[in-house]
Amino acid sequence: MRSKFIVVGLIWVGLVAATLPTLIKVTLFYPSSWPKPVYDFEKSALSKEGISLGRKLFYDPLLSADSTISCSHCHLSYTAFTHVDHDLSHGIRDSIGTRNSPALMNLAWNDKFMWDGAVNHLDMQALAPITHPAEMGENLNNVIAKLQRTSSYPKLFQAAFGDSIVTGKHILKALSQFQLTLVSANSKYDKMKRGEYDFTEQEQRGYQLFKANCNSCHQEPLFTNGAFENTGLPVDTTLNDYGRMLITKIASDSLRFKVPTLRNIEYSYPYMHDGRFKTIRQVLNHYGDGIFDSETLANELKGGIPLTSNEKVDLTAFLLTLTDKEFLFNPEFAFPRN
Amino acid sequence: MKCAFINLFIAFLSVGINAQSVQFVPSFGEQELKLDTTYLLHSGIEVKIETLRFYISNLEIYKNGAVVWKEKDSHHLLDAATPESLKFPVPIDKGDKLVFLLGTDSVTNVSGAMGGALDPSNGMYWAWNSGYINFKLEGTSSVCVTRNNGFEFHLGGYTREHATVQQIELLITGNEILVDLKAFLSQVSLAEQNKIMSPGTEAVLLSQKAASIFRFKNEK
Ligand code: HEC
Ligand code: HEC
Repeated sequence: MRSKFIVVGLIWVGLVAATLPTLIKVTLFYPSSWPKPVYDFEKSALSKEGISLGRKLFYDPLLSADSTISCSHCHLSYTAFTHVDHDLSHGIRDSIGTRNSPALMNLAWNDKFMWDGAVNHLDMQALAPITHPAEMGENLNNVIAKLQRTSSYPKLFQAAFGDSIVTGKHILKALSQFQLTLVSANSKYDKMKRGEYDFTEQEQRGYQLFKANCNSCHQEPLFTNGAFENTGLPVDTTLNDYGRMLITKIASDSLRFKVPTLRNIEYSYPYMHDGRFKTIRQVLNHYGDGIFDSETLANELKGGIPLTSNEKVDLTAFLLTLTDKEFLFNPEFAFPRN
Repeated sequence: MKCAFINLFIAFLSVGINAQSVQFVPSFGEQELKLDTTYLLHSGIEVKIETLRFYISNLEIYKNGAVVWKEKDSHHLLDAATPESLKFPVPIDKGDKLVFLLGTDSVTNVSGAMGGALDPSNGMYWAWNSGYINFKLEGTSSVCVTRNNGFEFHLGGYTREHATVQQIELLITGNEILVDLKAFLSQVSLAEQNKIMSPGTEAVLLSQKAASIFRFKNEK
């Protein structure tokens, strides 16, 4: 009786093993001095299969209503996954959005997404562009149906999740997996930290200025503290974007936007939530004497951050040490060619 | 006589089987609700319900004040248009009190992509302000001065200030639970309030009202 039970048990275990794919586990690599990621890898582990499916989805215009716009349309790998040259993002049928597409990197350490923190988890972020009428103009159920009908995707979903039936959950998990691998940690700054590179005197002076004036918000090593701040940008009256307040409905959150990372800033222009500045110089000039005072203006910025023109040059030299060429030109992140 | 006995026996059997499940019954007052059907709310105000969908989660049964049963991974999406979704197994005869949440708890709301009832493809997730829609009611009413006289209540929000999830406790007196939309709409002044599509104080107040419309259908 008992042995029968064990045999049945074994058969069952065998069946389960046959249906679950054997995944090639991937561990996210990042510097040991960094904080622990926010993303819960215990619950959703990375796998080679999941990442590669996510990458294919990220580059696939099938995710949009008329199959013209992929995620990469607004998040281009060579420019730190932002949409250069566009202040406001351009989407389906040439619609223009209301915000500048942010650079995508080190997303595993983010706990709120979007300029106003509207999205609370990386998995859920993709729903926003997919359904936005001015971005991809599609709905998740159509995406599921379209993917299911292809000859390639059901196999890939089977390989990554052990189920060839495409679901919303698995689309979102796969997109997360790919985006989580977008780690930028190999800039000159990182090499300096590891003792593999010595800052020039100018870069060093810039670093001091940075630590004194900018680090409270653009905190090392991720160059953001994840908070929402008002940096004194006057409201663009054609957009009337009040940032975080739109989500929390709390007046003290008016005009606060998420502190963006400054990694790869050389490549992620234009700058700010509405892309109003084209150059780093314009940003520094804004912090110098362009600050528009209002009730929610960040304390550090009351009175601005006046810097001499030499100091601006030094600070810029430091900001350029945050460029990570290996990240920008990593073939693993580019359009999948197979 | 024999016939009556068999009937009694069948009745006993079916009670026995039914006792292992709960059936939610969307209703308008005591009447079972029919979608897309005109009802009189109160004098001169007509309403029609087109959509009713809501989450029920964390089901528990108590006996004499102690938990005797707790559902694992307890999340159900109920839809008035899908009868199968309104009934599910619950060992209702084990205790005297049924406790559940109307909606999804805050942990569920911040845990990323999930499957089954919680899959975002079910249309109960907000893309532009993360979080589940706990309770969705859509319809029309002659008093709504809106496009097509429509009203839309999408109640959700999980942050502490705007939490819409509601705990409901019902003394078990059967196995059919009425979800009385007349009771809900009577507490809303549809002419002024007919469109809630994001978290906030209004959504919180309305979800408290929504929680008040669940009751066991009286036996007898
Ligand atoms: C039409 C342009 C466009 C498309 C297409 C697009 N995005 Fe974006 N993306 C944006 C904009 C604009 C924002 C900022 C939105 C906001 O703050 O409201 C953004 C924000 C993000 C963020 C948040 C980053 C952060 O740090 O907060 C992620 C992640 C992201 N997009 C991933 C994706 C994925 C995945 C896809 C494809 C499913 C996609 N995007 C498609 C323009 C686009
Ligand atoms: C009080 C917090 C705070 C301080 C201090 C601060 N920043 Fe910022 N920074 C922000 C926020 C918030 C934004 C985004 C503002 C927006 O788009 O509305 C931003 C945006 C930027 C951008 C544009 C990034 C992009 O991807 O669009 C640059 C560059 C920048 N800051 C550099 C600096 C430098 C250099 C300093 C020091 C001189 C500094 N910041 C000090 C909060 C701060």
